[in-house]
Amino acid sequence: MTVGYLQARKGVRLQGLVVNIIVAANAGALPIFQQSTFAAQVGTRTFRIKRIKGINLSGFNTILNIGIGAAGAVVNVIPSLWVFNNLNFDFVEADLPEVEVNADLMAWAVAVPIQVQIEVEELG
Amino acid sequence: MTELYPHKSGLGFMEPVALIGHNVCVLYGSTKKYQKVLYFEPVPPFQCLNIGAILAQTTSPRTAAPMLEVFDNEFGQYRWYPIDNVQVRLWLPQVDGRYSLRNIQVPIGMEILDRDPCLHLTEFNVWEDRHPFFEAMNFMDYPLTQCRIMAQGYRFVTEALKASVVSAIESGTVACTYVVASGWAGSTR
Repeated sequence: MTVGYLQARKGVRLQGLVVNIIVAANAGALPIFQQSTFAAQVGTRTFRIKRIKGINLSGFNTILNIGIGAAGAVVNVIPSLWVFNNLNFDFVEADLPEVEVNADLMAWAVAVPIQVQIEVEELG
Repeated sequence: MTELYPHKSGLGFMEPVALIGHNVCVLYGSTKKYQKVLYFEPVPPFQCLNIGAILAQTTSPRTAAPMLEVFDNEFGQYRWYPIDNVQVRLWLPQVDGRYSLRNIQVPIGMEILDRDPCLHLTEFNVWEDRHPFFEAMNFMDYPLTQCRIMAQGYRFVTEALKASVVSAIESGTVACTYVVASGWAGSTR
């Protein structure tokens, strides 16, 4: 078997916890997947977003932002996602850009509460 | 690249290190056991160890894997992989790390199934009841509720060779396959 680029870049599929976003501001951003940074680990770990599942219970159609940085200063790593009131949303691999993340991934919304869970592929 | 893999295996799935009637020399520490293979059978993939829960950013104790032991005058040839998101180091015996380079003892994670699908480079051997130990590191920011190790391979039933055959092997006139069943501490001189 030839070890090609794509195979060599394949990672381990993991999921984050179910996170309830309850503060409608960048300052209310919460981590939805935390990068593995243990000092004793062998190699550096990054991850790619493969699925974003959740429900908008805010009472409004609103915007969900996914990014990196400290709460209050989160910068989007993918475009904002429009999520409809009282409905589940489920963005899967084909909907998401192949962004590689090298920090804790954060989420915040313009209206809350929104419940989010993420699947990632961790590489390292 | 695959033709460079060790342990008499080419491309594809696992192969036994020796066949019935072959001579082997099992190396365990500084001892050599010259044996003849009487019988062997496959060991399908099974869960040989569950180290248990591991807190986030924590390394487990070196945990014994007695499920990989075989009977007297037998050795096991195994390949393995973890099915939880950890980096696992193999120790055989408890104080000798396997896959050791000068500056690092190489761990195995779940990625091994993509990078070495037939697990050639995870191979190790166990002589009788000299079982290995696994040490798992949960490098994530999330705790693990279990840490499971899968193993597969072959069990070989052997008998000791006569001294005359051993002498012939050591003089190079009779063929023998050397089977490494322990780690090697290394030396920096």
